Amino acid sequence: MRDAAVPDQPEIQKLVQDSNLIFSGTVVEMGASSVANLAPRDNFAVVWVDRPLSSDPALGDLRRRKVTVELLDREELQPDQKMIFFTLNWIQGKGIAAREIAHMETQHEDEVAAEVARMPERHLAERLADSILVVVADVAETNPTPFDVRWRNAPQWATATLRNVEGLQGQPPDDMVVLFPTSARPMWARAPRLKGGQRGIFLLHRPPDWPPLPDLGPDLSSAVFTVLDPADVQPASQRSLIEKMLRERSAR
Amino acid sequence: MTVVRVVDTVPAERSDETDLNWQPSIAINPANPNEIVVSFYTEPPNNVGYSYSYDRGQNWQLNFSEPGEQLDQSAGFSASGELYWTVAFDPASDIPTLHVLRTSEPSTAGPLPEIDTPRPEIDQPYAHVFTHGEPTPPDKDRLYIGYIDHSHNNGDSAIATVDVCLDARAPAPSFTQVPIEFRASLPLDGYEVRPIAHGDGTVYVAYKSWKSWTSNHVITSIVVVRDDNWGADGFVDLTDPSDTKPGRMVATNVRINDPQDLGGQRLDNDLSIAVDPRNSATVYIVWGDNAAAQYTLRVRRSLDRGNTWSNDLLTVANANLAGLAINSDGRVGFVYQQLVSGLWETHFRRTLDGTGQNWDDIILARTPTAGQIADYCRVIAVAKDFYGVFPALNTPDPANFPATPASSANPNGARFLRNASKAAPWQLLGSNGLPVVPSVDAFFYMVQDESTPDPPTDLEGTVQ
Repeated sequence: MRDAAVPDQPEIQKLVQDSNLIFSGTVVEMGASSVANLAPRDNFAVVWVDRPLSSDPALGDLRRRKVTVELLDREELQPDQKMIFFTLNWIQGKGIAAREIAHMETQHEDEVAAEVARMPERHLAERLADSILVVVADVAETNPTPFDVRWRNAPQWATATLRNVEGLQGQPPDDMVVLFPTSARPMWARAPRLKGGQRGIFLLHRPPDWPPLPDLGPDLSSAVFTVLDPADVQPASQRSLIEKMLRERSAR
Repeated sequence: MTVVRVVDTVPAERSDETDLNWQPSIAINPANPNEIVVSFYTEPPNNVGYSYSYDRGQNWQLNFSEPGEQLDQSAGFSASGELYWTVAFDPASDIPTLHVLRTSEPSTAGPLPEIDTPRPEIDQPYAHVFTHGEPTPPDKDRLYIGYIDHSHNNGDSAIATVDVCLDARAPAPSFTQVPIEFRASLPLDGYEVRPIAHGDGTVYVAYKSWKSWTSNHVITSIVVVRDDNWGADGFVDLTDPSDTKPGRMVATNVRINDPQDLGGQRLDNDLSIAVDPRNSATVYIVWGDNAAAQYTLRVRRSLDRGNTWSNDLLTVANANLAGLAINSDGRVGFVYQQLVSGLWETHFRRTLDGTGQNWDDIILARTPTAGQIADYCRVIAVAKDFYGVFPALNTPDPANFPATPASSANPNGARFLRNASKAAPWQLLGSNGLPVVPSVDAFFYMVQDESTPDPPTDLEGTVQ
């Protein structure tokens, strides 16, 4: 999808998913660069950001800043044109540059903004679709597993046992253990941390191929699940939304 | 005068950043030290990239290469100007996989071509490049990538391994995977595998061969292997007199209280090795251990190609993030962070004579602790000068940077590219001018030898 006249929602959804810098802007100059260490090229456009739609928070407010966009096709744009740009981050320093995935007419700005706003819910839907069980429960207790020295980046799993378990999707087994990372390393920093007494909705997943699971003891008969993504633990107040999403999914 | 520069590598465009910039490493084009790459990673997603400087570390830009999630990484720069970037990432399988990427345009690189077979289930890749002058051009880039290989025995082993490539600039380079653990049948080697090459074809690799481990400590040997033919012969040229097997045990029964921490930093990742560019027989090593009451870094050396080793030449208690390099004069540079009165002091020290026992001491930074900030950092020598990177909390208070006193050009002492107040109260500022909470950034530093002509810059800090 490039600058087709009427993009449909799935196309916008995919573009939003595939991009990490989206903005509507005005083309200032073609074949130029606003980045100090990036020489001008024919397929560059310097674009004035009118409305940021999705960007790395580290960049702050991008309004009224220039972005050099590496275009897929320089013939499609002219100075003073306004467009929505779907791009990937490229260079940040003495200017900002991005690589174009697509652009479309600014009349779709609100649709794109709405799709960006729906991204957390879409991510939740993906996690629901990938989960084995969805339960409402209380965390009875958590316990660390033996420290795994093998991998410097090991997740350092902890176990959580649940009680007052009510299944929203799937049949919870009588005996199950939920693993969650405790490592503070960046690769695990976003993972949910469970605490005794915590009540919530848990999207339980099969253990991944990696990282290696801890030794939980030879007599363990529990079913083992994991929560790894921030969306895997939802407050109980989200129950109606999650039930609605589960109904919609089963209806498909 | 020794000229010292310290620069926070976060560019002004990212003034709102509050990420932990984790595992900083550095690579420099030895033929053009204006070109420098600092790699680190931040919280995923969309964190695949590296920082690049085209003016000897005064300005930095962040280059994003591919979509995905990045884990441990390090880069190597050849004198030919090729950047070799070794990075562990694989968002599809979640299995940390080594990818070796290459570019001759590091300033504008996007998605990079891959030149080695992806190696799944690895940890802590560490790249070293040496450009070897050939009788007939072009010169050849020797590339050595040390890492821990967990892909055998269902992940229960950890094998110190080096990928060797004798012509990494070739259109289709050939890599040889060389396990360098010659003793244990089910090895669990330590995290650091550190190769270093010399122009005469000598390549050393330092690693830790764990002998036992419990929940609160590791017992390890400190081992050095050597190959006298650019790594082509399997690293069997240095044997230990105790068993005649390849791999000289520099120290045995070394106790490290892993996973205990020091100032929030997990112990056991401080192995580094450096070879004298004037004489491949001279090699220095550093590691950290708990033989004493406090975790202690120990610097030792060999003057006979690793066959015999000195006792401790220098010890530093309560310190980590150790790195060694040796400059063209045979002067050793040693970087570490030491916990002093609850603060991390980043020291850079150089030998003052040939004994290896007398060192100067430059305190690059003195900053509050901030939990886990890195497993390793790195220092590199180019000609007589040293270049490195260290992680530190980024409060722009000039008192935090003793080696670079505040000046009109640099009111924060260290150079801050990101927005920061220029007078007390010292704080980072976002793109909207409002304060931003401190976080851990990667700080570039350069320690220029007294005799090196000063390049044009207004960034001088001076140390007597």
